[in-house]
Amino acid sequence: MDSDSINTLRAEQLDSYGRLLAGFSHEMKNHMGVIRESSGLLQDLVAMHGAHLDEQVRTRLEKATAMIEERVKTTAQMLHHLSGFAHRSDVACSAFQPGQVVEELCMFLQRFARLSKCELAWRTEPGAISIHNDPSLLHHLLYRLFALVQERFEPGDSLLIETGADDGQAMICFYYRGAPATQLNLPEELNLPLALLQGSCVIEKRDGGHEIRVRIPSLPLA
Amino acid sequence: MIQGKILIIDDEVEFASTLRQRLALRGMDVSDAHSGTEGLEQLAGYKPDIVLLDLKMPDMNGLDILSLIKEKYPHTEVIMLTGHGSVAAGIEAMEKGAFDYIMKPVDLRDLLVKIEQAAAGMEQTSHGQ
Repeated sequence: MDSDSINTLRAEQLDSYGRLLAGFSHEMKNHMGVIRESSGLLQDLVAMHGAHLDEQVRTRLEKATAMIEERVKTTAQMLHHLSGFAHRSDVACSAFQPGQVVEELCMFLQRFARLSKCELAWRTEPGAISIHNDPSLLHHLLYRLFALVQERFEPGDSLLIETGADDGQAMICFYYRGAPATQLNLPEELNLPLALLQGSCVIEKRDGGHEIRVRIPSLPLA
Repeated sequence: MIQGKILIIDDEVEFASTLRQRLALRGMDVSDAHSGTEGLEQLAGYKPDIVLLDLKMPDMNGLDILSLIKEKYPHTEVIMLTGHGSVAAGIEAMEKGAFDYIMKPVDLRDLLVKIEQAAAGMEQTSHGQ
């Protein structure tokens, strides 16, 4: 196989994964719907017809159903982001808010940060702009950047991912406290097609930590 | 208490049945159908005022059922239930005449608010006529 054929195959493979993930997320939401309604029905029955129940039993039932409701809400939120994440690979380029792409990804990065005993936070600054670019590729870029920073994490370190705008371009900043990455040539180190994103990376010191700034321009409509 | 009949059309039998029980516990007159075809049959017989309609079902697309409802029963309000991650599907449904949409898994408090709003809108319409 020549490199073009391999690239086409890889692109199709990504597309398949995206569709499978979207289907999975949709199916899970249906199951979550049934769990939520069933737990809600239990709550209703306890509240409306549970006066004769032993106080302890009643309290335990209320606590258990409240816990189910809380977990279903969290899972639903994660599935919502998983669905958004999966649908990003449907089209090569589209208009999107970079902050949303960051949020979709961070829902899943939280676990990795927690396992590294580090704190992960993200925020979108007021005035963030929509851009036309490849959101799936941006997911990939951000994940690789996160992995790079994660390698430098020590327990107790923190990472803040900020999305904003600078000079008409979307800007995503990784501000972290940990070992510096200043000597790195990011595109080379990450083996990333930054040329495709037409992005640029800058690494600087900031407030006792380090900042990796990525500019993501809006590409012209095809 | 919310007046009027409610029909739930959703192919997830357990979801539709449990939701029906929860609404019935709140004194509402509710029925459920588990396919698009069954839903259309109940529309003719049960004559609901509000329909809670799943967007994606194996036998019929929720948007097609919505169009049929709006054509035959223009005063019936439809609230779409969508498990789809995209808000776009809900907005498209509203453009086609749905009263509103709600994401699955459904938050009952949100759904009750939407049902109340739909019922209030119908009441105003009937008083205005």
